[in-house]
Amino acid sequence: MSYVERCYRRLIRLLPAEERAARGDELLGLLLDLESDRRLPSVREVAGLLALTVRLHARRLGIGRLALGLFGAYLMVVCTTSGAQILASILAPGAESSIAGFDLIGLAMALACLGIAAAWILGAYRVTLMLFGLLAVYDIHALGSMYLPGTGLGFFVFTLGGIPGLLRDAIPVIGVPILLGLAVKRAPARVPARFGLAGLAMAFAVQTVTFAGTGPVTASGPAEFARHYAAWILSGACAATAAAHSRRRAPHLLLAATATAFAAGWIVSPAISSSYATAMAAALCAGEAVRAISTHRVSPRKASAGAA
Amino acid sequence: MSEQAFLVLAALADQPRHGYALIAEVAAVSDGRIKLRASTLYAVLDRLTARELIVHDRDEVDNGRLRRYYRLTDAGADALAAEADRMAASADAARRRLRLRVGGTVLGGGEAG
Repeated sequence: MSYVERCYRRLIRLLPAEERAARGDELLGLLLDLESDRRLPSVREVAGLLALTVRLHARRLGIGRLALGLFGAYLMVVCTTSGAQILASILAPGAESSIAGFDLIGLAMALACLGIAAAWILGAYRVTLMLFGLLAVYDIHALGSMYLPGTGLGFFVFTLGGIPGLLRDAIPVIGVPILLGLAVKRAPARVPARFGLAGLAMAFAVQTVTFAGTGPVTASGPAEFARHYAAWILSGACAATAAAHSRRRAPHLLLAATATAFAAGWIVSPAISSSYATAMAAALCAGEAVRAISTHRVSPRKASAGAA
Repeated sequence: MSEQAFLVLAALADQPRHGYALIAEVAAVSDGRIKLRASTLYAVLDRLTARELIVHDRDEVDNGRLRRYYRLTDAGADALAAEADRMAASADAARRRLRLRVGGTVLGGGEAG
């Protein structure tokens, strides 16, 4: 057995068991036909095989568009929260803001965050991946200085103050593998650009207005809660309106978007700054996920009806 | 229908073929522009089989390697013909528009009149 064959046999073992049993030998035979004269497996085929493995496992586990939708929601939360808080600190520098020290690095990070969200919505997944990779590298440095002092990690430390710790810390852990999977899948976000960008702008504006002149984490008085609730309801209503004017005006889409917006806002405490963005982004992305799934299910029936 | 799927169906139009022959045929049909990876072909065959546009024809073992042959179904032939017609209509429309271009060069047809 050649070295190339051994390598490909090992890689094919990574495929889901049922796929391996059904078509593993066929795939191995094809790879050996293509690369029989090589001493080492080609990077092109190995990368393709690994990507196929990821896709097949994702399909087996039932994650796909839904995961992309949820990740889109997560991305929107992180991006709009960070950008809005930094803008709020500019507009109302005297206010109690969670961004204590605003500087050029902060501005760059805010722009990067917003750039990620915009790129994601517009379907430019490679730009999304690049910007998100930069953010992840930055975040790894920040985490390194926090958890591994003295290792050299974290040579420039800047806390993305407004982002809840769990979300921020999860960026390199969760985000990068998912985005890598996204790059492999080559499937950009299916959010229509117009209403996606409108949603982003609205979430951003709502948060900026809310943050300017108040400390969201310390908001505890009735007036503050009223303001937060109002913003949350506004976000949910905007999301529902946007969903109603999307390309498919399906009732279940509208219901799903509205329910998701309010459920997200309920689960995440209204005193936490990200609740508005969560509501907005989750509604947008859940609506897209529902639409994608319903389209996928409807198409074969339509096709068979057309054939009949 | 993606271009890759279209080319795979086209490669199966005349006779059943196995994976390696399909990759070679697709490269030939596309003038070497598209060289499918094994994993890409695997995914395309998977999709086309699920849509019942192609079916597994037979297995052969050559030099210890399994070669699985696929053939076009009637539905696959219809889908291929429909897609080819659609593409031809689009190309014709583009050519007609190009002919309206004053002073422009018509694709494959000389100067515009």
